[in-house]
Amino acid sequence: MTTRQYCTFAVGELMVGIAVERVREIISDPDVTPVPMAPPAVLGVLNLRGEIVTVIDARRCLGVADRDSVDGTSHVIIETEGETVSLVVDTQYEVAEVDPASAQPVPETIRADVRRLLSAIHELGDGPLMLVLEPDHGLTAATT
Amino acid sequence: MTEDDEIRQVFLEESREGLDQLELDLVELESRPRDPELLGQIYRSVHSIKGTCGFLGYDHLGALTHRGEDVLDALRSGRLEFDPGIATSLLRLVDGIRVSLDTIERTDEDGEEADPKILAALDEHLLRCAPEPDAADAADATASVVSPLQGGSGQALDIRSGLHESSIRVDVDVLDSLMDLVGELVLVRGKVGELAAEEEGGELVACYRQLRRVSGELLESVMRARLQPVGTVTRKFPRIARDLAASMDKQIKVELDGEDIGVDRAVNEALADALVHLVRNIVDHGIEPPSERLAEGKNPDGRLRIAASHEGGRVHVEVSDDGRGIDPQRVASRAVSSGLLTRDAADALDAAGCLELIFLPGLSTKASVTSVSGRGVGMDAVRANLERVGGGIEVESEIGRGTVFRIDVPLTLAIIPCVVAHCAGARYCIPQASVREVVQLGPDELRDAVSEIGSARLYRLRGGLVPLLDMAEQFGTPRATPSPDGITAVIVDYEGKRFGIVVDAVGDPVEAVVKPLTRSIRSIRVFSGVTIMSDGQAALIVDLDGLADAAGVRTATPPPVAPQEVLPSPELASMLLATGTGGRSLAVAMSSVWRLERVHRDRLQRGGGIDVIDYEDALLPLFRLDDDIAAESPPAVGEQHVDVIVCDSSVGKVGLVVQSIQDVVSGQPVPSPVPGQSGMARLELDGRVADLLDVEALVAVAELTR
Repeated sequence: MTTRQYCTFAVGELMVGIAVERVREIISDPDVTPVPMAPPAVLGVLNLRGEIVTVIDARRCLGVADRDSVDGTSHVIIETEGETVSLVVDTQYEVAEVDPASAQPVPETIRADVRRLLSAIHELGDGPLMLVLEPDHGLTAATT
Repeated sequence: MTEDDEIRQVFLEESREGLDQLELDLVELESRPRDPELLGQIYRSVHSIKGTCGFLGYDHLGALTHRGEDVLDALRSGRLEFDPGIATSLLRLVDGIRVSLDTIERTDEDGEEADPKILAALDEHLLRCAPEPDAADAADATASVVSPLQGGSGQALDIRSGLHESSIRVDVDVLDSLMDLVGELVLVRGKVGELAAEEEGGELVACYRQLRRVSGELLESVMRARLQPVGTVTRKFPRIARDLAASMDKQIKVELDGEDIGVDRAVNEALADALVHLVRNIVDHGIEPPSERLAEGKNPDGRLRIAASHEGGRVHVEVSDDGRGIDPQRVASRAVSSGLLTRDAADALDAAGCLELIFLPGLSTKASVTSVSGRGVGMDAVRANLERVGGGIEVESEIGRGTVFRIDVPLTLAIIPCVVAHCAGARYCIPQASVREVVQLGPDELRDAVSEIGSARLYRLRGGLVPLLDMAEQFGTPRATPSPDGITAVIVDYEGKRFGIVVDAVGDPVEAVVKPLTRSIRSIRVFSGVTIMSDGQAALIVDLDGLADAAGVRTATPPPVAPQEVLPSPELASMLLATGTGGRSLAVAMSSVWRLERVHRDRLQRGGGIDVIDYEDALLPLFRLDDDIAAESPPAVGEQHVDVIVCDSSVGKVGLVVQSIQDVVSGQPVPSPVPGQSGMARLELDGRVADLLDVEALVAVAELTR
């Protein structure tokens, strides 16, 4: 059985997984420069060792209510569609190993613009549901 | 690398640099064939290559340059009369030398004997020479340079001294990774700075200062290493254009400007591709044969100008010619016959719209296919290539007068000096090239020099009214501290428009390293790039064009108009829009506006049949801008104040009473007369219709009806 590994994160009440090979690194508490007039999901830009990275709020992408403070958030650095983005999540969990065969389709009842970003749902043991986020499914477009 | 290898490398690089200059000089020589200084310079270029060849033992190349030198010597002494054929032969000589240099680089030998055709052509010119006045002298001069024995030690010294000013090739990947490393260094520096701040006066503080200085200089050096003058591209065109023109029996003179402007290598490459296409097209299609030009009353030499300039983080390259221009109708017909456009769609286009069609894929307007520019491939590729690097191209043309192509490319990764503006706790970089001045306005100046009427906030600056826009308000960010004590405004001039940006404070200027914007931020259009500040934090670079658009300070494009309606000299005009006391929209040219005043009704007096107020020690006559401009009805009851536009006129200052001031806009006014009313013309501006007021006509009418 070949399993797949996902980095998992809390985004509000949700648990989101991103394939490990897509995560370049995870940083905490960087200096974010806000960008006025930007789309709501864009929190700003940050300097990652000389590279300019767009900071995108996972909560806003997934339609979760805004957090009270940015304290304790993590920045997941992902390369997608020719640019580097930093996806802001609430808490970083462990790497989850799942059997691709256990994937369940994303229910139609989820908002279309959110559903588009997700490719599958996995039930982790008896625990929570993990939503698989596909960075290439228009993560940067979600911000325009 | 052995010493010999080094010497050879220096010889190759210096010779190549010399050849670039030589090529330009030879083209220049065609217009100034008798200029002794120019001839001397050319002679010396060839001579120094020849001299080193002798020293390094490259006999074939030496013989080739020797022959060129003979021809140049004959020209210099006046024994040979210059003609275009000689220029061609000498340019071929340059090509021959290049080939030899390439061979030397590859094989360390100067290869076969030089192209006999080049030598034969030079010999032919020499045969026409008048006899040499003193053959012995000339021979002596040559010998003294060629002989390695005589000139040996001197030559060696020359070559070694060249090492100090010559350049080396560096792989761009190396430069890129240097950049990233320096960026990282700057970040670490920031952290060290924080540590140093905690440990007051310690050794760490001294180390940090040193680190800051060294890393700052390192950053700057790495940036500069990436820049290349635009001239490395544009300087190739006098030769290219000349050869192309000669192959078509045309004559052309190329003028260059702004060659020293530094741009990133990648940008330069994109420019080179675009310019090659453009210049080919211009020489092939644009420039007429000399006979046709003479018949048109033009100089038989076609003129091609490539001018680069730098504005607000963009590089503009204007390629203009004085050729036959592009006929919009022909372009449109061609597009229709090529099936790119329907007849109806073509008919709906104005002249500028038709010209835009040249950028469509698969369009060529030249009836015959030529070897030079081919057919149907070109302008669409030019545009696509420029857009790939975030640039663009526009065209403007007048039949019979010529064509102007305006290329605009970003200075990706270039350095722009910027003023740092603080606004609501964030920092924004404003390109210094556009900043005219920074003004601090205290409460008194705010009261006296800033008129805040309606949505328009105008600052009177030395005889002109400057619209102010509030950066915090524009960006929707809360202002950190309300400013009862006054404001700071950065006054900018951008593409002919002056406006002021109100910010919280202005900090020290920085050399901002421009990094391209990510996609989602580019779409906001108010920022042109991002830079990394000395503390490692990112800061946005303001795009003044986009900011002015977003704030409505200026109109993006003049309203589309049919060609016959265009004013004789369409100029952008700045207009003050106001609502008249009768509710009518009015426009007054900003050039005639002196000030905006809000006057208490009690100050109004009646005198000589019209209202006046005491104003700057004189009586200011007031006109109410109602439907009937000479109306004597008092201002609407209940209003405590009236808004007055104070204008200059031939009879002194006059005041125009309006209901409210709307806005200041600039654009291309399209006037049409308002039936039955002098002093008025209807005007469309920024999509709004207003009646343009001619202050002089108004005063004249008022005098008559008094």
